[in-house]
Amino acid sequence: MRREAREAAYTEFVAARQTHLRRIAYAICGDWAQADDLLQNALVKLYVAWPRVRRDGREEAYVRQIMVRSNIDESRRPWRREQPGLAAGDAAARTGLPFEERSALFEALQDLPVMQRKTVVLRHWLGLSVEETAQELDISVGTVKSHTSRALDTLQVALTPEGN
Amino acid sequence: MDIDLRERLDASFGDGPEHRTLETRVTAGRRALRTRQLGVAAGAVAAAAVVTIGVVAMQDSSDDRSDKTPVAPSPSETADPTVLPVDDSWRAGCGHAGQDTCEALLTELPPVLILEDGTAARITDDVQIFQGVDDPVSTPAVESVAVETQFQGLTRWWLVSRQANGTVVAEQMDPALSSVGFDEWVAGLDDPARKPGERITLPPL
Repeated sequence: MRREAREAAYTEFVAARQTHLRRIAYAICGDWAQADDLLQNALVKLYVAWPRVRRDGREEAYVRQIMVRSNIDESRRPWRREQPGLAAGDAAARTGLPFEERSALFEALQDLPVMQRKTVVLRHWLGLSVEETAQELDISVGTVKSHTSRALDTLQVALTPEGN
Repeated sequence: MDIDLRERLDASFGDGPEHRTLETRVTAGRRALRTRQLGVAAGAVAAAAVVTIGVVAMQDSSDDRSDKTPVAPSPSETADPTVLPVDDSWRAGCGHAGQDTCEALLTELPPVLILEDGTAARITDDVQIFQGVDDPVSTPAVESVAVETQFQGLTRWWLVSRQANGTVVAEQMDPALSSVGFDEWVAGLDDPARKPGERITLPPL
């Protein structure tokens, strides 16, 4: 594949899907700067693997899988990349929304253990099946079911108004 | 709750801040691809690289210099910002369980860092430096260096500074996108109205 054609197709895909893909990253890490790093890392890998992934028609699944399999522990990556205009420590800029505008559901999601959070995102937001979720996270079907069950119980409690 | 959970999750947060430019995305991909290709051909490249890799000792830092062949440093040039040692202590943060590969991290780090003792260093011997200015930023308690580098096939101007708290901040400029030369770019680094380029921040090293 010629470089021009490769980059044109790659750019078209990124322009069309980067917002959705970064929202997935944000849903699993809760921080826009880290979500942007997760996406960028996955997109770099996609560029390298583009001919093969494009041929298989798996561009979005490929990026998503890299992101959701990433260890999102902040300590593993010592550097942070910033875009011009984003002041360090500016919480509103880093999250994209003032904290109070993120819903209680999103906050409850972020409070879940990371694997429970990932299974909820894949199963109940993106609509993947149990089997697809297991494959995406490289865990067993049974583990997906147990993570999902516990996560939904927790979310249910967190979102039930007191007194009900 | 499960019935409308998808819609509620989708509505529970926004789209976030602006994206990096598509050019930035593509450039990062090109660098990674080039790194991989270089890795595959490492054996063949290594012999040739020994001949050409070195550090420029530029007596003349004019921007329109056409000869950008790096030359080996001499002991008397060690204070020159174009003559920087190699420090690979950053490798402690990669290549181990749960960490990125060092190859991946290499594509993200600035090619020059400022160490704890305030000295600047190249992250690998493959980084070539064509010209540089020591301490271009006059802010007190900030160590900084501005350099023109070539690394992984890309020529960039870098401003790397180490803050008083040990944080290292680096920002880059593609010379092809600049309307001014290196010297003028360096001279403008102290301008408070200057619009910074993409920045990379590292915690205390």
